[in-house]
Amino acid sequence: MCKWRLIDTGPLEGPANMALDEALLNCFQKDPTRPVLRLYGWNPATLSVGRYQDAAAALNLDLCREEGVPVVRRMTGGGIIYHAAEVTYSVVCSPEHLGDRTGVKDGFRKLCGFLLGTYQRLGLDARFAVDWNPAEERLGERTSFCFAGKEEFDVVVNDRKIGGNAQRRLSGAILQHGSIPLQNRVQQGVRYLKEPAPGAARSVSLSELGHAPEPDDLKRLLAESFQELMSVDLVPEPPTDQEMVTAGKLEEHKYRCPSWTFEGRS
Amino acid sequence: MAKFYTKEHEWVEMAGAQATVGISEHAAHELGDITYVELPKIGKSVKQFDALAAIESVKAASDIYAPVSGKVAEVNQALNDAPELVNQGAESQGWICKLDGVNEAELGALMDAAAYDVYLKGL
Repeated sequence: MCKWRLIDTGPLEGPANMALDEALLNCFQKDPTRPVLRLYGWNPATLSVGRYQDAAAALNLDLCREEGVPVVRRMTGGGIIYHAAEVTYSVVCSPEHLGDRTGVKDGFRKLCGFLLGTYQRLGLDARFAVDWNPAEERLGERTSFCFAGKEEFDVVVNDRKIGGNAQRRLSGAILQHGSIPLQNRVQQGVRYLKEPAPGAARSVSLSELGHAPEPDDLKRLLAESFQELMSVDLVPEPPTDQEMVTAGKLEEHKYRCPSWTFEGRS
Repeated sequence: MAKFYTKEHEWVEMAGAQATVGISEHAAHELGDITYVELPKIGKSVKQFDALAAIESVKAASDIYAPVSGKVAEVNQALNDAPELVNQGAESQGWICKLDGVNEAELGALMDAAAYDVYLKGL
């Protein structure tokens, strides 16, 4: 059975989180034999914007500054996420690690399968949006706020979206990260948007569904589900020295720089 | 002139020493609705299979690699306002850029349309 690394860094600041995800991807490209599942959190609560979003057009940056809410730009696609009261995962692997499902859509289905499995372990009727009501709802509408829109392989419970996921593909390597909301902080997050995001009210969290797992218990469920759905062994280990050095440089020279955060230039 | 394809799903079509480059219909379909294309800078020199541009769909951001070496001579400015052109015609109006100074010998490392079809069936 293929061995994957399980890296649990606990909660970090936004720039450190995004720098480590990119460092894991960069180091994996050089040695694509050791795929990774990383689990983490955010402290303090942070707004992340997608790789190509116009942060100033989508966010009320003055309010963010006034209230001391940090903003960080991801290297992945997708919309704005307010990271608070959530467990976050990232996966770094090659298309080959997803079996023969190397397309973007199939890759999403495969990689998001462990989220479905996790929610089902909690007794929830979780499905992919595309499997819930495929005939009547338009999926994939563009929206600046991640939780306000639904994609085919977003996870829904009772037709309400739970969490969000985004992907970056390089030659021979994939980074996917996403959120599992413990509590619903969407209404706090949408305060920072310039435009209303009506669909956001339809998103849901674990606590609203009657589950209040401790972050460590949720991480254990995620790891169990991942091992089962991906047919892999997870081996807990910390990031390597090389990964930490790379992450430190990326944090200092990219993810803490206004040119990257607000203009997308690195 | 025939198109040639990479394993990463870019296409290239030669006209003299100039190459037009884009992503394949298959790649556009896989990506879903394209929301943004990061075009290369005119004058940028790239080597074969180096990162050339980037493309974002509703969820995934992906690099686009140069199918051949060359210097960027022209970019498809229409994609700035209408990235969906890639969905509407990835191998026609959704082209990404044109490269000058291309060595046709590099096409030998690519697949022709028939070989690319076989490659897609094997995925």
